[in-house]
Amino acid sequence: MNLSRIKKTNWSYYIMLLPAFLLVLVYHYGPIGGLALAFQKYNFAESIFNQEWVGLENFRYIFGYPGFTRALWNTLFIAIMKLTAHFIVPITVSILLNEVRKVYLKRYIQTLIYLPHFMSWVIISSIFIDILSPSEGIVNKFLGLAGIEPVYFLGEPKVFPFTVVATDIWKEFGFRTIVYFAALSSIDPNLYEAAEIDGAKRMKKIRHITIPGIMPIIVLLGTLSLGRILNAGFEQIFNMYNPLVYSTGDILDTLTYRIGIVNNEYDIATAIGLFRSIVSLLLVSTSYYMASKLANYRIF
Amino acid sequence: MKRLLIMAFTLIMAVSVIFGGCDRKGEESKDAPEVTDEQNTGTSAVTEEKPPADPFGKYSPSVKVKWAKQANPATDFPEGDSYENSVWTRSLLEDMGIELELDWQVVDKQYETKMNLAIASNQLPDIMSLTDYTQFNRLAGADRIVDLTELYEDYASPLLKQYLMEDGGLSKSWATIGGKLMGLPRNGVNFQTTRKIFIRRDWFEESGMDKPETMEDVFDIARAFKNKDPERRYGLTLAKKILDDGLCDMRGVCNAVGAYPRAWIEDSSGNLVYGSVQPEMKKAIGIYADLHEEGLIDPEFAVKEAAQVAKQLTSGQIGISIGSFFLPGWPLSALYKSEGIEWDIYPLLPMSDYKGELKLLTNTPKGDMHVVRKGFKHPEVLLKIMNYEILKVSDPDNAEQEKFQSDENYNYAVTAPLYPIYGPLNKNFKTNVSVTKAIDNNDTSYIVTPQEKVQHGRVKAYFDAVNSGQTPKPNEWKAYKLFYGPDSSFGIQNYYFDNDMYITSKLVGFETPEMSRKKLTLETLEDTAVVAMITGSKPLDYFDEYVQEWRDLGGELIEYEVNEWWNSKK
Repeated sequence: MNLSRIKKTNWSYYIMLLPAFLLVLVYHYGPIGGLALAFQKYNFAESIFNQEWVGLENFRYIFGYPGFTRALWNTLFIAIMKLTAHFIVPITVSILLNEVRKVYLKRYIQTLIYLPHFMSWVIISSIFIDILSPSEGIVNKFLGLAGIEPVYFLGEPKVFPFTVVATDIWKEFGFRTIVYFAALSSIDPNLYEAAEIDGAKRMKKIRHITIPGIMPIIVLLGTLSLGRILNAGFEQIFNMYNPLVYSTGDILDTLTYRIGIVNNEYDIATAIGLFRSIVSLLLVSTSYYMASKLANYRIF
Repeated sequence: MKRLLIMAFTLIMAVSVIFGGCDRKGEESKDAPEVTDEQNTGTSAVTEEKPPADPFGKYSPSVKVKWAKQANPATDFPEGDSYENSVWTRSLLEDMGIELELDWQVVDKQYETKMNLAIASNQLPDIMSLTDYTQFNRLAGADRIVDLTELYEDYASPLLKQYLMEDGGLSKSWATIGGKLMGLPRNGVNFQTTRKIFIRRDWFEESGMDKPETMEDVFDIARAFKNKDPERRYGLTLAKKILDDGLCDMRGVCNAVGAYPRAWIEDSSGNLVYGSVQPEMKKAIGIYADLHEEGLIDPEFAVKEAAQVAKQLTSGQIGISIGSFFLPGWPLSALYKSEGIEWDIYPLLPMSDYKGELKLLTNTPKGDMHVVRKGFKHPEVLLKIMNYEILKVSDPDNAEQEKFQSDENYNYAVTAPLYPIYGPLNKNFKTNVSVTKAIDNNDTSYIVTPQEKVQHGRVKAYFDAVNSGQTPKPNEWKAYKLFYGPDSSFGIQNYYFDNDMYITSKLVGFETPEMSRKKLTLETLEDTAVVAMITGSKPLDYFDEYVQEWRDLGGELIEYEVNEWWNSKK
């Protein structure tokens, strides 16, 4: 009976949900069957239903694969830096922007900072290769004015991961502020007025009203982002790395790409993919458990 | 908040629709093969009634053939034309009753990947061109392509047979597995990719130096170029793909000290060894490390693609490149067009302390091969199309050069369904000889083949323009630089050829098990190590450590496997 009532009142929303649901079904649930490849020795002459099972052989192979451990550490290092920065920067920026009084200025800045999100890394990376060049790049020209030796941002192994993180932040932070803006605008203005009457200054208002107000969203996004711990951004690194920085720039995705797409070892590539998913699943579950324990927050 | 959320939602939906849209083409093509098969069944009865094999027989009714094309982004088409509808597709339908249907096309480098996916997902076009031996061996091993042995005997035109056998059956042997001819290979070794030295003439004259006789002289010239404008200029080109980039890699200098990177070469005891880990390679790396330290090569070479290096050449930052035959066409003709800059071409020179014979490493034949999908009802179509292409492009008596090969504006040959098209082996070399003779003696009786006619016409136009005080067109200059005289690209190739200066990897078309697993890792190691030593982030003595690492990571096993194969072949 309950069900029929839902249907009557909400059917239009379910229809609106349908395309997204189908997409998820086809592109996210459909391929799960393919994970069987991780436990098979892939022979391309046979159909995918008729492959030889090899147990955990592929996993043994990847842990002994030269370059795997290095790629794993690079991935963790870059991904953790990205997660942290993507966590802090958008929150800070959206709180600061929220304090800007002039509405039109706020709007302009908002639009400006999320524009880069819509550009592809193929384009952005070639722009960065130019502006970060040690001999002709504008960045090093400025450093030179300040008396600093030119830095080879994309060619120095020690610097490369930080360049990757910084450029990624530049590209994405604006877009990620959108959700925080949404949360900020849902805070009841009465609270601010009440605080003002009690004599609270700006900093106090931020600390006691704004931040607690958006805390649920912060916890939610923080928790969800932990699932990307082994995702350091394929498109970006693939377009920016070069033989000089393989030692610190080669990540799991680029390794998987070379094994899977270039070398056609689909079984090995699938095994690496599955390994990543398992680690992500563990992390998401743990952090979700923590969030519900500590912050008493539940998503589901 | 609601509005913002709705906006965000709309954005996400819009984005997913865009990405969803990308796959539509793929889905459509999934259903297509069945349709063709049905139609084929319809027509197959007709062919069975027609017993004698006719290399040029017209199908009636016409036969549908699905094909795939490695598109060249630089190709221009006449108004309204495309790969789907070109002079080739129209003529093949009209003259041969072959209806070509383009299954998919992708740009250059992605072709190999797309073909791999087509193989893995079992959605092969009816006829296709493969680009490497791995694909070929896999398809043949899995019995997914047609055995062409008998069809070749019955349907190949005499000219096709003649051209294919010009290298003594070498390339045919690469396409033969277990006594069966499984594909039509590209014929012969591609000699023209060996390196030559290109020097910018105006800067060279300005420097007042003598013509180079050793590699050191070339570096001196590079030094002089650089010192004219040390802030802006570099001496020599080098790009990201340090070992295999026809525009600007280090292969030329490697050959100048007897190193042959990425090739399996016979050593003094008759065993095959891998060129990249031999002591000569250390010397070549050392030379580049010194050049790098001196500032003669761009310190940022490791992030530069060939296209960016081409820009350095055309914008007057670099005046020397050690590269393949094609430089006059790209990028130098652009500079000729804009500023009229001339370049001189020299054969590769040895380092002064190199005592061995100077040999030039050719590209290793990669496995360009035309094959037919098993299950396709008219496998002989492959041979018929090639017969037709040869007839229109390479046959001295029947070629319609302006229509099918190239005219002033368009290169039609590259849009052919099967490309490259067979022609006389090393035809560019012969063209050089005959064009030079015809121009010098003012006697057109030397000009026979279709290609010779076109190139002779352009070189002649070049001289006519020069003699009448006009500026030649870029494509006339290009033909002149490629084909006229001993100092042209192909003149130098002929010099190499006459003096037997070529060397090719002994390992062609074969991959050992360890190799197919480790090649990628080892090549990554190679690139990283070589770049590190050139830029000085590792000392030159790291070379020995790198060689040891190469052996430990599987190189030693590969060497063993390769020699096992080599000895079994002897």
